[in-house]
Amino acid sequence: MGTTFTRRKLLAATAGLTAGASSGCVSSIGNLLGGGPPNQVSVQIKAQPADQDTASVQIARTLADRLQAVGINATVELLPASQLYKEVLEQHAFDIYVGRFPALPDPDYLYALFHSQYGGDTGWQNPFGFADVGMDQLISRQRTQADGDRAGTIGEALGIVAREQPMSPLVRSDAIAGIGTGRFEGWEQFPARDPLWLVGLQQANGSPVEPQADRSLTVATPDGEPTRSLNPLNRRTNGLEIATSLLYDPLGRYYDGQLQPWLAESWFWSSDDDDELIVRLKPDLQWHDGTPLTAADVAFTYRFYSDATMGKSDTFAPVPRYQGRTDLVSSVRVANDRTVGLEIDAADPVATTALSVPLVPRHVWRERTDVVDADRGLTSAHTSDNEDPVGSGPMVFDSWSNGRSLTLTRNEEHPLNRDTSSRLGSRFNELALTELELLVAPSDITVVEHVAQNNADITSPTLGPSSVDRVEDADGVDLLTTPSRTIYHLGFNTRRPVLRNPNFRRAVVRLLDKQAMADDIFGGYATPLSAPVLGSEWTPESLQFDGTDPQVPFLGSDDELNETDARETFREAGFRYTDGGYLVQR
Amino acid sequence: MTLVDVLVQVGASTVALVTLSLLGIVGIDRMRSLRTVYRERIVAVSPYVGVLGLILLANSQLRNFGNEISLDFGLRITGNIYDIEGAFVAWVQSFQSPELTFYFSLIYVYGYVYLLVFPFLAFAMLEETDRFRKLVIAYGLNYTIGLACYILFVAYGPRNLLPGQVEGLLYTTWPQSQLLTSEVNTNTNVFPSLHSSLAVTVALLARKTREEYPYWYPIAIALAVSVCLSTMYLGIHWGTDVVAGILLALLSVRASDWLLPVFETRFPPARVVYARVADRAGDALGRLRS
Repeated sequence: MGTTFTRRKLLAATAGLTAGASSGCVSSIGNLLGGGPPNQVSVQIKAQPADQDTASVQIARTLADRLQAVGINATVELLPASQLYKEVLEQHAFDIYVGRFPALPDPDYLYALFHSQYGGDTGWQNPFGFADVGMDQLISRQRTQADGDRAGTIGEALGIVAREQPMSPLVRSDAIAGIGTGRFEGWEQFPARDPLWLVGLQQANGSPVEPQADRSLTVATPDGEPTRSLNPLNRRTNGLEIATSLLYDPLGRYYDGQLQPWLAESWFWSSDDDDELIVRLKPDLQWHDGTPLTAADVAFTYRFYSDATMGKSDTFAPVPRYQGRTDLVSSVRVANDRTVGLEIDAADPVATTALSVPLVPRHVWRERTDVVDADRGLTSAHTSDNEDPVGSGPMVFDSWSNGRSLTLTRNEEHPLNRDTSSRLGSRFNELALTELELLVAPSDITVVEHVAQNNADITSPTLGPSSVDRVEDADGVDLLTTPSRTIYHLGFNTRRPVLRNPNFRRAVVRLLDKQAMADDIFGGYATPLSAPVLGSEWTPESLQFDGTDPQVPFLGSDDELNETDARETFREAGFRYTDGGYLVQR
Repeated sequence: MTLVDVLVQVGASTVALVTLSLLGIVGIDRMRSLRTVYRERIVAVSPYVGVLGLILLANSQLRNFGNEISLDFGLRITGNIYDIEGAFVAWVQSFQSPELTFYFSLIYVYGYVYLLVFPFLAFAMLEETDRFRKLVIAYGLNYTIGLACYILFVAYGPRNLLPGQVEGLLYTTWPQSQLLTSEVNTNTNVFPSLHSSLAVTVALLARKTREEYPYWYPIAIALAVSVCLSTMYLGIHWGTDVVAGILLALLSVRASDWLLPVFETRFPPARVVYARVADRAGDALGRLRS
C-alpha cells in the first residue's frame, strides 16, 4: 500500500507545475498587460543572454518586436547555452529558438537534421519534429549516390526545407578572435573554429624547435563548460571544442578539402564485400594511459555509439551526437590488431563521414553502460563528466578547476609528435604547443581584457561582433577573423499547434531582413543564408541568397517592415485579425 | 589586472573611507570610551555576527546549487519585467555622460561596500546594542529572502535582454569589475536588486541613529539613492528590481523591529551558554595580553 514517490515522478510533477506557470500563466499575465484577447496567437522565442551571445538575443528581440507589431503576443525567454540546448535538443520544450549549429563538412548531416525517424531523438537530430516523406526519401537516396546525382538530390531536399521552413537558416557567422602573442604564427592555416586550428600553429620565426622557448598558450574563453565536463559524447553548448578535439582523435579528419587519414593509416573498400570498408590503423598507437589503441577499441567505439548499454539493456540508448554518422555502420569486424572492417551501406563521400567520430577507449567506457534514464535513453556514459579523460589526441589532460581553468599538456606519443617524417608529420609538423590553458572569464568583454592585460595569449574564436572594436583598441592584440561553419538559425517546433502550419512559419521568417541582420547585428561579420548548408556547390541556383531570401523574402525593405503586407501574409496563412488588431486562429 | 587586484583595491579604499568616517562621524571620544566596555559589547553582539556569518556562508554555497535548480524549476520573469517597464532603463541611460558613468561606477562598487561596512562598526560603538542587532537581523533577512527569490525567479538584467538599447556600462568602461561581480553573483539573479535593498536598509536604519550620528543620516541617504540609480544607469538592474529591492528593505527593517525581542526572549539559554564561552575566551585573551 501507499504511493511511492520516485525522484523522477516528483521532478516530473514539479516540471509540469512550473512549465504551466512559466508558459500558460505568464503569457496570460502578458496578455493582461498587453490587452490582447485570450485566443491571441502567442509564441515564445528562446535565446541566449547578451553576455553569452549578443547576436542571438538581438535577433530574438527584433523578431519579437515585429511579431508584436503584427498582432502576435511574442515574448523572449533568455537561457544560458547549456539550458537552452537541453530544452531544445533534449526536451523539445520550445516554440521558436534562435540558435547556432556547427555544420559538418559533408552535407549528410542534413539526414539527421531533417529525417522524421529522428523526431523523437535528442541532439542535433530533427529537434523541429519535422516529418515529410518526400524529405526522408531524398536524404536517404543521396547517401548512395555519386557526386552529380547526389548534388541534385540534396538540392531537392533543400528545396523542401526552403518551402516548409522547419528551421530557417539566417547567417553564417565569422569566427572572431583577439591574438595577443607573437610567439606563434599560422593562425590562418585553418579556420579558427576548426578542430585543427591550434594544431596548425608553428613557432614564430625559426623553423627549428627551440626547446627553451615558452611554448605554452593561454586561451581566455567565456565558456566554462570544458572546466566541468570533458565528455566527448555530450556537448550541450555546441560552442568551440578546443579541449575535447585535442584530447580525442578520430580515424580521419577533414583538411585540404577532404577527409584524410588521421589515426588511420589508410582505408579502402574490400574486394570481397562491396559494403565493407577496411580501415588500417597507424602502428603502435596508444591511449594517454599507455594502453595500446587497437582495432578492438575502434570496433567498441562504433558498437558503443549505436548502443551505449552494449546490449545489457533493452533501452534504446545510442549516442545522439554521432548517430547520423554511426547509423551508417551496420556491423564491425576486427580482422587483426590494426585492421577493422566496417559494414556500410552508403556511397563513398557519405560512407567515410563515419570515420570522423572520435574514438574512445574500450577499457574506460565499457564500465559506463548502466542505464540512468530509460525514457530519455541515457546511460552513465551520456551523463558522465569524464573527469580524468583518457583519449589518444595530441594533448593530454593535466588538471582543471571548476568554472575557472583547464590545462592540457603535449602528448609526446602521438603520431604527430613522434614521427615528423610521416605523411601526417610532414603536413603538420609536430605540435607547436607544449601546454594549453583555458582561462574562463564571465563575458566577451573580460575575455578581451584578459588578453589586453597579458593574463592570456589569445581569446577563444567565439567573440561577438560587438567585441571587434574592443580588440582593435587593445594594445598588442590583433584581430583575427576567419569564416566558420556556424549557422545561426531560427528553429520551429513543428509539433506545436500554430507552428505546425508551414505558412505561419514562412510568414514569421518573412518578418526578418537577413541581409540587414548580417550587416547590422553582425556588423558585416556574417553572410546571409537561405539554405542550411555551406558552400554554393550544394545550394541550387534558385535557392541562393540574392539580396534577399528567394523563398521567404523580407516583407519590407531596408529592415523596415511593411506591416500591412505582413498582416495580409498572416491572413493568407489561415488566421484572422480581431477589431483590436490582434491575430487569432480562424 | 586580476580578481585579486580588484579585491585589494576595493579592500584598501573601504578601509580608508571607513577610517575617515570613524574619525569624522563617530569621533575619537566615542571610540575611546570603548576601551572599558569592549568585552561586554563583543559578547552582546557576537551571536548575531556569528549567525550573519553563517547566513552569508550558506548563501555563497547555496547560490551555485540554487542556480541549477532555478534554471529547471524557477519562474522565468525577464519577459514579464520587460512587459511592465519596457525600455525604462534605456531612458535612464539617455542621460549618459562620462562623468556620470565614472560616478555611478564608483558608487556601485566602492560606495556600496563602504555603505554596508561602516554602520557595522559605527552601530557597534553605540551604548545601546539594539541598533546593531537590528542591523544584523535586517542584513540577514535581506540575504535570506534575496536568495529565496533568486531560486524562485530567473531574471536577466536589461543589458542582457536589450543589448542594442541598454549598455552594460560598468563592464564596458571598467571590464575588471565584472571579475568581481561575477564572483559574487550570476547574471540570472537580478530580481530583486540586493544592491538597492541593502543600501536602502542602511538608510532606513541610519534614520534611527540621527541623534548619535547626525552626519551619517544624510550621507547614507545620498549613497542609498545613488546606489539605486547606479544599478539602473549601469544597465545591471531593471526599475522593477529596484522597486522590489526597496520593498525588501522596508520589510527587513520592519521585521527586525519585532524579531529582535523574539530572539532575545526565545533563545536565552543559548545566549547564556554563548555568553559564558565568550566570557572565558575574553578572559583568556585578557590574560594573554597582560
